[in-house]
Amino acid sequence: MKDAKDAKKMKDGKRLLAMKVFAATFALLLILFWVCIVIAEMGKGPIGPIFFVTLIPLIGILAILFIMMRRISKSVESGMPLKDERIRRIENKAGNYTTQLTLYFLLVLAFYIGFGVEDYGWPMVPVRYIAWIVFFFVAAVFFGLRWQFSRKGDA
Amino acid sequence: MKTRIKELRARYNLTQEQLAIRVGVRRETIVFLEKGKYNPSLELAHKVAKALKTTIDELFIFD
Repeated sequence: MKDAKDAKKMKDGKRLLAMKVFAATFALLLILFWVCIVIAEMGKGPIGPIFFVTLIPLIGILAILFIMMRRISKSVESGMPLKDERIRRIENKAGNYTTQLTLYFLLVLAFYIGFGVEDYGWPMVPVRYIAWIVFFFVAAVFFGLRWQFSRKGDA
Repeated sequence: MKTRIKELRARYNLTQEQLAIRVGVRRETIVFLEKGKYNPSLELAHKVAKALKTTIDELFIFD
């Protein structure tokens, strides 16, 4: 029993480390992306309002990321698991719904491109945009559903 | 579903966090259990009942 608990704790520790690495990489990429925007803008002339307009959300996102990671680290260090059966159940449910909705969404996209664009002359969506649209759709649906299910409960 | 978790937790002077650590779940799960908004697995129900020195029957009341 104690061994199982220790193994679970070790697994959570590894997961937490992976989450920290992921968060740090995400933050670095975000900063890099922002620096690229600023350099591109500065190449056109003096620092414009885009510098300040983009700096505020950047700091906001980084702060939220930092606070979230700190809260998760603290709760795991106090002995609570990173994921328990309720969270797993919520994620499974959200994943299930997301898969089904994504299939319908892809079907709509296929019809749009197959019939709308080819037969009715609707504007063509470039492939790179389609990839981003699908990515944001899946992410938004999954995180939205997870948030909704975590608020609602299942009793 | 109603539960007596809050009442028994108070009897044993346990916080939600302490009970969560004892049964190996997150604090939010205890909050949902107390509100009767979450149907726990048999394993979790057993663990909570054991931590509060009672039985599942006495802990969870089904209307």
